[in-house]
Amino acid sequence: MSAWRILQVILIFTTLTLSGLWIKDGFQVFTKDKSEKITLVKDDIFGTTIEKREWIDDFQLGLLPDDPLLPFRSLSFYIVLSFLGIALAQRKIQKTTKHHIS
Amino acid sequence: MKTITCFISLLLLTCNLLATQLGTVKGRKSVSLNNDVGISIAKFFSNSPLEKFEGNSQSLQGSFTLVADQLEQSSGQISFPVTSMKTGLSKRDDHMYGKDWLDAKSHPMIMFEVKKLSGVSIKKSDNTGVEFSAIAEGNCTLKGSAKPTKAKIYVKYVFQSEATKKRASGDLVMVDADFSVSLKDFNVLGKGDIIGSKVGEQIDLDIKLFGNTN
Repeated sequence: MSAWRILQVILIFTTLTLSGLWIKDGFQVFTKDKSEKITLVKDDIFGTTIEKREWIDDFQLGLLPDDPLLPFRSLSFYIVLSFLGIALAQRKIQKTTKHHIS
Repeated sequence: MKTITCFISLLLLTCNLLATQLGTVKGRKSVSLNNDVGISIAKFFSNSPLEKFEGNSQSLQGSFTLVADQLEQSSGQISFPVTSMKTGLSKRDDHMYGKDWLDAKSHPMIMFEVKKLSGVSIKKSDNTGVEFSAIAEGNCTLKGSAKPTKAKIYVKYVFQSEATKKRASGDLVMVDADFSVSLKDFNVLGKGDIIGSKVGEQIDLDIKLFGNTN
Protein backbone atom coordinates (compact mmCIF):
# COMPACT_ATOMS: atom_id res chain seq x y z
CA MET A 1 0.00 0.00 0.00
CA SER A 2 1.42 3.39 -1.02
CA ALA A 3 1.89 6.32 1.38
CA TRP A 4 -0.90 8.21 -0.45
CA ARG A 5 -3.32 5.34 0.04
CA ILE A 6 -2.40 5.23 3.77
CA LEU A 7 -3.05 8.99 3.97
CA GLN A 8 -6.49 8.48 2.38
CA VAL A 9 -7.37 5.78 4.92
CA ILE A 10 -6.19 7.98 7.82
CA LEU A 11 -8.26 10.95 6.57
CA ILE A 12 -11.39 8.82 6.11
CA PHE A 13 -10.91 7.31 9.57
CA THR A 14 -10.38 10.79 11.13
CA THR A 15 -13.51 12.20 9.43
CA LEU A 16 -15.62 9.24 10.54
CA THR A 17 -14.30 9.51 14.12
CA LEU A 18 -15.02 13.25 14.28
CA SER A 19 -18.47 12.71 12.75
CA GLY A 20 -19.15 10.15 15.47
CA LEU A 21 -18.03 12.66 18.09
CA TRP A 22 -20.33 15.28 16.54
CA ILE A 23 -23.29 12.86 16.70
CA LYS A 24 -22.39 11.95 20.30
CA ASP A 25 -22.30 15.67 21.20
CA GLY A 26 -25.86 16.06 19.93
CA PHE A 27 -25.65 17.26 16.28
CA GLN A 28 -24.78 20.82 17.40
CA VAL A 29 -24.80 23.43 14.64
CA PHE A 30 -22.18 25.51 16.44
CA THR A 31 -19.34 24.27 18.63
CA LYS A 32 -20.00 24.93 22.30
CA ASP A 33 -17.49 25.42 25.09
CA LYS A 34 -19.85 24.88 28.01
CA SER A 35 -22.60 22.46 28.89
CA GLU A 36 -25.24 22.59 31.54
CA LYS A 37 -25.29 20.08 34.34
CA ILE A 38 -28.93 19.71 35.36
CA THR A 39 -29.79 18.02 38.65
CA LEU A 40 -33.42 17.32 39.48
CA VAL A 41 -34.22 17.81 43.15
CA LYS A 42 -37.55 16.93 44.78
CA ASP A 43 -38.87 19.93 46.70
CA ASP A 44 -41.21 18.69 49.42
CA ILE A 45 -42.27 22.17 50.57
CA PHE A 46 -43.54 23.25 47.13
CA GLY A 47 -44.49 19.70 46.13
CA THR A 48 -42.61 19.84 42.88
CA THR A 49 -39.31 18.93 41.23
CA ILE A 50 -36.77 21.73 41.04
CA GLU A 51 -33.97 21.89 38.48
CA LYS A 52 -30.52 22.87 39.72
CA ARG A 53 -28.51 24.11 36.76
CA GLU A 54 -24.79 24.67 36.62
CA TRP A 55 -22.57 25.62 33.65
CA ILE A 56 -19.43 23.53 33.35
CA ASP A 57 -16.54 23.80 30.87
CA ASP A 58 -17.19 21.13 28.26
CA PHE A 59 -16.12 21.19 24.60
CA GLN A 60 -18.87 19.97 22.27
CA LEU A 61 -17.92 19.72 18.61
CA GLY A 62 -20.29 21.48 16.24
CA LEU A 63 -20.70 21.56 12.48
CA LEU A 64 -19.57 25.20 12.43
CA PRO A 65 -16.98 26.90 14.68
CA ASP A 66 -17.96 28.86 17.79
CA ASP A 67 -15.49 31.54 16.73
CA PRO A 68 -15.02 32.39 13.00
CA LEU A 69 -11.36 33.14 13.75
CA LEU A 70 -10.86 29.56 14.97
CA PRO A 71 -12.26 27.47 12.08
CA PHE A 72 -10.47 24.33 13.23
CA ARG A 73 -12.94 24.10 16.13
CA SER A 74 -15.58 22.60 13.82
CA LEU A 75 -16.42 19.37 12.00
CA SER A 76 -16.85 21.15 8.66
CA PHE A 77 -13.20 22.28 8.75
CA TYR A 78 -11.98 18.65 8.95
CA ILE A 79 -14.51 17.44 6.35
CA VAL A 80 -13.23 20.04 3.85
CA LEU A 81 -9.62 19.32 4.77
CA SER A 82 -10.12 15.56 4.42
CA PHE A 83 -11.95 15.96 1.12
CA LEU A 84 -9.07 18.01 -0.30
CA GLY A 85 -6.49 15.59 1.16
CA ILE A 86 -8.27 12.53 -0.27
CA ALA A 87 -8.64 14.20 -3.70
CA LEU A 88 -4.96 15.21 -3.72
CA ALA A 89 -3.88 11.71 -2.69
CA GLN A 90 -6.10 10.18 -5.39
CA ARG A 91 -4.51 12.42 -8.01
CA LYS A 92 -1.04 11.38 -6.86
CA ILE A 93 -2.04 7.68 -6.90
CA GLN A 94 -3.40 8.02 -10.46
CA LYS A 95 -0.24 9.86 -11.60
CA THR A 96 1.96 7.13 -10.10
CA THR A 97 -0.15 4.38 -11.74
CA LYS A 98 0.08 6.09 -15.18
CA HIS A 99 3.82 6.52 -14.70
CA HIS A 100 4.19 2.79 -13.95
CA ILE A 101 2.09 1.78 -16.98
CA SER A 102 4.05 3.98 -19.39
CA MET B 1 -79.96 21.26 68.48
CA LYS B 2 -81.20 23.97 66.11
CA THR B 3 -79.38 26.62 68.13
CA ILE B 4 -76.11 24.68 67.91
CA THR B 5 -76.46 24.22 64.12
CA CYS B 6 -77.20 27.93 63.73
CA PHE B 7 -74.20 28.84 65.88
CA ILE B 8 -71.83 26.58 63.90
CA SER B 9 -73.17 27.93 60.59
CA LEU B 10 -72.68 31.49 61.82
CA LEU B 11 -69.17 30.68 62.99
CA LEU B 12 -68.25 29.10 59.64
CA LEU B 13 -69.73 32.07 57.78
CA THR B 14 -67.74 34.49 59.92
CA CYS B 15 -64.55 32.50 59.33
CA ASN B 16 -65.25 32.50 55.60
CA LEU B 17 -65.85 36.23 55.57
CA LEU B 18 -62.62 36.83 57.47
CA ALA B 19 -60.61 34.66 55.05
CA THR B 20 -58.89 36.45 52.18
CA GLN B 21 -57.91 35.15 48.73
CA LEU B 22 -54.69 34.02 50.43
CA GLY B 23 -56.52 32.03 53.08
CA THR B 24 -55.70 33.28 56.55
CA VAL B 25 -53.05 35.71 55.31
CA LYS B 26 -54.07 39.32 55.80
CA GLY B 27 -53.01 42.63 54.29
CA ARG B 28 -49.96 43.17 52.12
CA LYS B 29 -47.22 40.58 52.07
CA SER B 30 -43.88 41.72 50.76
CA VAL B 31 -41.91 38.86 49.20
CA SER B 32 -38.17 39.17 48.54
CA LEU B 33 -36.32 36.75 46.28
CA ASN B 34 -34.16 34.50 48.39
CA ASN B 35 -31.77 31.82 47.13
CA ASP B 36 -32.16 29.93 50.43
CA VAL B 37 -35.77 29.25 49.42
CA GLY B 38 -34.75 28.20 45.90
CA ILE B 39 -32.56 29.41 43.07
CA SER B 40 -34.58 31.85 40.98
CA ILE B 41 -33.94 31.35 37.28
CA ALA B 42 -34.92 33.02 34.01
CA LYS B 43 -34.66 30.55 31.12
CA PHE B 44 -34.89 31.84 27.56
CA PHE B 45 -35.48 29.87 24.36
CA SER B 46 -34.69 30.85 20.80
CA ASN B 47 -36.18 28.86 17.95
CA SER B 48 -34.93 29.67 14.46
CA PRO B 49 -34.59 27.60 11.25
CA LEU B 50 -30.80 27.23 11.63
CA GLU B 51 -30.54 26.64 15.34
CA LYS B 52 -32.55 26.15 18.49
CA PHE B 53 -30.81 27.22 21.63
CA GLU B 54 -31.57 28.07 25.21
CA GLY B 55 -29.85 29.89 28.00
CA ASN B 56 -30.51 31.24 31.41
CA SER B 57 -29.69 33.70 34.12
CA GLN B 58 -29.59 32.72 37.77
CA SER B 59 -28.87 36.20 39.10
CA LEU B 60 -32.42 37.39 39.59
CA GLN B 61 -33.14 39.98 42.21
CA GLY B 62 -36.18 41.92 43.32
CA SER B 63 -39.34 41.71 45.33
CA PHE B 64 -43.09 41.77 44.95
CA THR B 65 -46.08 42.51 47.11
CA LEU B 66 -49.10 40.25 47.32
CA VAL B 67 -52.26 41.95 48.48
CA ALA B 68 -54.05 39.15 50.31
CA ASP B 69 -57.62 40.45 50.10
CA GLN B 70 -57.25 41.84 46.58
CA LEU B 71 -54.64 39.80 44.71
CA GLU B 72 -55.36 41.83 41.56
CA GLN B 73 -53.58 44.78 43.20
CA SER B 74 -50.35 42.84 43.68
CA SER B 75 -47.22 44.38 42.18
CA GLY B 76 -43.48 43.90 42.01
CA GLN B 77 -40.21 44.34 40.23
CA ILE B 78 -37.75 41.65 39.15
CA SER B 79 -34.48 42.24 37.32
CA PHE B 80 -31.28 40.51 36.29
CA PRO B 81 -28.00 41.66 34.72
CA VAL B 82 -27.63 41.11 30.96
CA THR B 83 -24.12 39.72 31.54
CA SER B 84 -25.54 36.95 33.74
CA MET B 85 -27.24 35.39 30.70
CA LYS B 86 -25.37 32.29 29.49
CA THR B 87 -26.04 30.02 26.51
CA GLY B 88 -23.12 27.56 26.62
CA LEU B 89 -21.29 29.32 23.80
CA SER B 90 -19.02 32.06 25.18
CA LYS B 91 -18.59 33.81 21.81
CA ARG B 92 -22.36 34.00 21.34
CA ASP B 93 -22.72 35.33 24.91
CA ASP B 94 -20.18 38.08 24.10
CA HIS B 95 -22.14 39.00 20.96
CA MET B 96 -25.40 38.97 22.96
CA TYR B 97 -23.97 41.53 25.41
CA GLY B 98 -22.75 43.71 22.51
CA LYS B 99 -24.16 46.94 21.12
CA ASP B 100 -26.05 45.29 18.22
CA TRP B 101 -27.88 43.00 20.59
CA LEU B 102 -28.66 43.73 24.27
CA ASP B 103 -26.04 46.46 24.75
CA ALA B 104 -25.06 45.46 28.29
CA LYS B 105 -22.77 48.48 28.70
CA SER B 106 -25.52 51.08 28.22
CA HIS B 107 -28.42 48.96 29.53
CA PRO B 108 -26.98 46.54 32.07
CA MET B 109 -30.28 45.25 33.46
CA ILE B 110 -33.36 43.49 32.10
CA MET B 111 -36.36 44.39 34.19
CA PHE B 112 -39.95 43.21 34.68
CA GLU B 113 -42.33 45.49 36.48
CA VAL B 114 -45.64 43.96 37.49
CA LYS B 115 -48.37 46.57 37.92
CA LYS B 116 -51.38 44.35 38.53
CA LEU B 117 -52.77 40.84 38.22
CA SER B 118 -55.83 39.83 36.26
CA GLY B 119 -57.79 36.60 35.86
CA VAL B 120 -56.86 35.40 39.35
CA SER B 121 -58.04 31.84 39.85
CA ILE B 122 -57.52 30.06 43.17
CA LYS B 123 -56.48 26.48 42.39
CA LYS B 124 -55.90 25.16 45.89
CA SER B 125 -56.39 26.51 49.38
CA ASP B 126 -55.83 24.57 52.57
CA ASN B 127 -54.12 24.94 55.92
CA THR B 128 -50.64 24.54 54.34
CA GLY B 129 -50.97 27.24 51.72
CA VAL B 130 -52.63 28.65 48.65
CA GLU B 131 -52.05 28.14 44.93
CA PHE B 132 -53.39 30.43 42.24
CA SER B 133 -52.93 31.26 38.59
CA ALA B 134 -53.21 34.72 37.09
CA ILE B 135 -52.01 37.01 34.32
CA ALA B 136 -49.32 39.43 35.48
CA GLU B 137 -49.58 42.72 33.62
CA GLY B 138 -46.80 45.24 33.51
CA ASN B 139 -43.75 46.35 31.60
CA CYS B 140 -40.66 44.57 30.39
CA THR B 141 -37.60 46.75 29.96
CA LEU B 142 -34.97 45.49 27.55
CA LYS B 143 -32.20 47.55 25.95
CA GLY B 144 -33.70 50.68 27.49
CA SER B 145 -37.15 50.17 25.93
CA ALA B 146 -40.11 49.48 28.18
CA LYS B 147 -43.02 47.65 26.55
CA PRO B 148 -46.29 46.40 28.03
CA THR B 149 -46.05 42.68 28.73
CA LYS B 150 -48.42 40.03 29.99
CA ALA B 151 -47.20 36.84 31.63
CA LYS B 152 -49.06 33.72 32.68
CA ILE B 153 -48.15 33.05 36.29
CA TYR B 154 -48.72 30.25 38.76
CA VAL B 155 -48.07 31.06 42.41
CA LYS B 156 -47.54 28.62 45.26
CA TYR B 157 -47.79 30.35 48.62
CA VAL B 158 -46.75 28.11 51.54
CA PHE B 159 -47.58 29.19 55.10
CA GLN B 160 -44.79 29.24 57.67
CA SER B 161 -44.28 25.90 59.40
CA GLU B 162 -41.53 23.97 61.14
CA ALA B 163 -40.48 22.63 57.71
CA THR B 164 -40.37 26.06 56.02
CA LYS B 165 -38.44 27.59 58.94
CA LYS B 166 -35.53 25.27 58.12
CA ARG B 167 -35.23 26.99 54.76
CA ALA B 168 -36.09 30.63 55.51
CA SER B 169 -38.22 32.72 57.83
CA GLY B 170 -41.79 33.73 57.05
CA ASP B 171 -44.08 32.26 54.41
CA LEU B 172 -42.41 30.83 51.30
CA VAL B 173 -43.46 31.64 47.75
CA MET B 174 -42.73 30.11 44.37
CA VAL B 175 -43.79 31.83 41.15
CA ASP B 176 -43.69 30.25 37.70
CA ALA B 177 -44.06 32.78 34.86
CA ASP B 178 -44.19 32.25 31.09
CA PHE B 179 -44.23 34.84 28.34
CA SER B 180 -42.63 35.82 25.04
CA VAL B 181 -40.89 38.94 23.81
CA SER B 182 -40.36 40.06 20.25
CA LEU B 183 -36.78 41.29 19.76
CA LYS B 184 -37.88 43.88 17.16
CA ASP B 185 -40.23 45.50 19.69
CA PHE B 186 -37.26 46.29 21.88
CA ASN B 187 -35.10 47.53 19.01
CA VAL B 188 -32.85 44.48 19.23
CA LEU B 189 -32.00 44.09 15.55
CA GLY B 190 -28.71 42.16 15.60
CA LYS B 191 -26.29 42.10 12.67
CA GLY B 192 -27.45 41.47 9.10
CA ASP B 193 -30.32 38.99 8.87
CA ILE B 194 -29.31 36.86 11.86
CA ILE B 195 -32.72 37.41 13.51
CA GLY B 196 -35.05 34.95 11.86
CA SER B 197 -32.26 32.62 10.68
CA LYS B 198 -29.88 31.96 13.59
CA VAL B 199 -31.86 33.70 16.35
CA GLY B 200 -35.62 33.48 16.77
CA GLU B 201 -37.74 36.59 16.23
CA GLN B 202 -39.62 35.70 19.41
CA ILE B 203 -37.79 34.71 22.56
CA ASP B 204 -39.78 32.59 25.01
CA LEU B 205 -39.11 33.09 28.68
CA ASP B 206 -39.76 30.70 31.54
CA ILE B 207 -39.08 32.33 34.88
CA LYS B 208 -39.10 30.64 38.28
CA LEU B 209 -38.93 32.82 41.36
CA PHE B 210 -38.42 31.78 44.97
CA GLY B 211 -38.83 34.08 47.91
CA ASN B 212 -40.00 34.55 51.45
CA THR B 213 -42.14 37.12 53.22
CA ASN B 214 -40.38 39.65 55.42
